[in-house]
Amino acid sequence: MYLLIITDITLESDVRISLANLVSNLLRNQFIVSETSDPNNQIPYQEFIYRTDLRPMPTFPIVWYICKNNQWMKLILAATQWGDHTLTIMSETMDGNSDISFYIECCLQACENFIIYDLKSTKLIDKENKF
Amino acid sequence: MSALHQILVTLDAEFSPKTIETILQQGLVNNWIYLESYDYDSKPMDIQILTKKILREPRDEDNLIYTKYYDTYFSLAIFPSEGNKTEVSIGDFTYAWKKLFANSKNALHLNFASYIRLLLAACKNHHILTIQTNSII
Repeated sequence: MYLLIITDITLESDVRISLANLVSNLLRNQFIVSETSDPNNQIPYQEFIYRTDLRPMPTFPIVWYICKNNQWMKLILAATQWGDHTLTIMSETMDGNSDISFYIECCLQACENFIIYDLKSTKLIDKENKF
Repeated sequence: MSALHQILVTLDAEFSPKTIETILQQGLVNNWIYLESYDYDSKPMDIQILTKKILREPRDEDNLIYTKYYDTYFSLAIFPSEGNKTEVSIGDFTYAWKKLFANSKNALHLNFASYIRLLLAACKNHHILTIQTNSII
């Protein structure tokens, strides 16, 4: 199981705009975006915008499930105590395949239009943290 | 504000002349040009010579290959990990690609994603086990 973490992602001062950007990036790059790892529970783009417009300030962390090439991943957007933001994409690797280049590309696609400074991968052996 | 950036990947490949040559060859296919130095009039270097240079002092931190890719320059390093896997890094971006981001307040910022993709493309013949970036601001 792998975690890919982008740290120091810079969001808009109005976080709702960033969320709309994030969803837009994901949909443009043909991800399914859902609130659970159930493909029948997809959230239409307009619904995302509607919800974020209604909230004065989104509550972090924001957890969504995204899917591409039949691979479900957990996406977490969190605020750090210093006011920066991190985006984490968590997934079990496909078929025991050790290559993580697919997940790196997924992170980069999700972060289009955001300033990023760091990207790192972490392999979790602990089954307690299973996706 | 200036910053030093480095991107490092560990490949699922034994550190060997064949692995080094495969990476360098893929770089050439991707239009990378390996130079003797950061002197922009420097001559391109041959892959076999570069491979020998890397193998001579594989853990020498100064064993960098100055690389040109279109309008940007960067240093490339290929060296063994502790478990003798191959590690590849690029850094010291000169004439770095920059971009105006949504929240960049009209200032250009490093297009980090482009450099990550550049490194992945050169390593595409091997499985990537880990990635790590470092930014010193």
